[in-house]
Amino acid sequence: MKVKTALLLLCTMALLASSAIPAVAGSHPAPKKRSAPAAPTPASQTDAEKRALTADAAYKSNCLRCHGEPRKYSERAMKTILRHMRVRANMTEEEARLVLEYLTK
Amino acid sequence: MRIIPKLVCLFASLLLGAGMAQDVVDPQEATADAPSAGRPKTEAVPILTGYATFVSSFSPGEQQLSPTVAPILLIPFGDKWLIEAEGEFEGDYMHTTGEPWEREWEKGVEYVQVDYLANKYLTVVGGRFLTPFGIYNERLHPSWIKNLQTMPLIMPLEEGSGNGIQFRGGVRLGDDVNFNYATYFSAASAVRAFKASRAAGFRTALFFPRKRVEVGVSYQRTLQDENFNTVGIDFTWQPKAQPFDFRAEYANSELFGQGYWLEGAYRLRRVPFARKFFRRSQVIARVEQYFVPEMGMGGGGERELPESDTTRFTVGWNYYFRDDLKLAVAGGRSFSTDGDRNVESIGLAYRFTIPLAGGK
Ligand code: HEC
Repeated sequence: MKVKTALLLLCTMALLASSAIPAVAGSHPAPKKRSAPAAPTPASQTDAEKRALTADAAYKSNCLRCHGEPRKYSERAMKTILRHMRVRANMTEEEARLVLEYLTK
Repeated sequence: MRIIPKLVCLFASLLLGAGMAQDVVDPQEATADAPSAGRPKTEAVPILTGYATFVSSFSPGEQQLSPTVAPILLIPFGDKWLIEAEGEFEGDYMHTTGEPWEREWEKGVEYVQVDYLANKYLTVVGGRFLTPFGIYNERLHPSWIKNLQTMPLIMPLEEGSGNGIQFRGGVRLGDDVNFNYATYFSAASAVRAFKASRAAGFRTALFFPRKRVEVGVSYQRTLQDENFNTVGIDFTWQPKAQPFDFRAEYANSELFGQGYWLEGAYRLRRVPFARKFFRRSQVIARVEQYFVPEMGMGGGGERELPESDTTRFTVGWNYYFRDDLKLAVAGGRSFSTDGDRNVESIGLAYRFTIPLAGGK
């Protein structure tokens, strides 16, 4: 009985994760008027995301949350580290990408 | 173990689901690792990282030395996979006045896990992992990270590692809100290096990147000989205006009792004299309490919890020689019906990070 409850819980979360959330995210409010181009194309959404949270801010709010400011490593090492940190910190994909670009540019 | 086939089914259906979900995801959204336009693609490389610590602590009539080495191997595959593994070797040299030194070395596998970044919203983790309950266990426990080398009294309420499967991820919900989640199932294991309880649970949190605030709630149902629940709340705040970290956690286990810790750490970047020294210094204060349960396991049995209600205050000072090497000095006093006690400690913590393949 208990195991079933636990499994049910897991299944629900998994379902939520793989289907419901994309739907929610897909229904993001349109980017704010001041800089939104006419059609909310995927590219404009990425721009909006970048505006909302610049790479520098993404770095500061994410990478200093758990530990001190880490030094930079080579781009290839940074990729591994960012993948590790994305999983550990449950960072969003956009933030992980922004921070990787920021740390390897 | 009829649970295993069910888990395998679940895992398989999830991967399938993930594949399908990926089709929904905008194809123009690159993965975190994809090369940005105009740049040649570079492959992620394996890394050997980890930490080494040497801490000595003193309380009246007692001295303890605890050297620890914890190597971590990170092996990336393609754009979406990562294998990560950490082993821990911890020495415990104890000495009571007038007695000879006693020593013990413990080794354990903290985690050996495969991470699959299924899509933007979901990462599947399989293997042995650090239990994502609260913040201390998964995020703060490495000695180069934690501000005070003594772990909070309530740490044993958070199950250290689990063997099984996790689904986790983070999603941007709005302008300044991210939602993140980690849910897990662990099977029991009595094998020494892979010890774990049969348990299921989750942590979900809201993270406000601009305010630099994160609030999380955790739940775990332990399904051992006795089934019981543990709930937790955690809070992290790093105000932008000051180099200050504030962290707090509360946990309540039906079987093992409850408690909390509150910790503030301040980096002395603004002191106008002896700048070099103060910039590298950090002062820390922690307040914590633990209450034994009215029914259940007072003292926590094998969980290394205090035998009676305890209040503890600890202050500390860290000096960062570099981002990866620090000296940590701390002193604390704990008050309980068993008697009050002072504990002082001094230690060095070092993190190493060695990419296993060349330059750029
Ligand atoms: C959720 C907390 C958390 C956040 C946020 C976080 N880290 Fe970490 N980081 C850790 C932990 C925990 C470890 C140690 C891993 C271990 O011991 O298992 C670590 C280890 C590292 C290491 C050592 C190499 C490695 O991968 O283990 C580097 C470098 C690093 N982090 C950089 C970063 C950067 C850059 C960011 C921002 C993208 C970041 N961290 C964000 C918790 C975090």
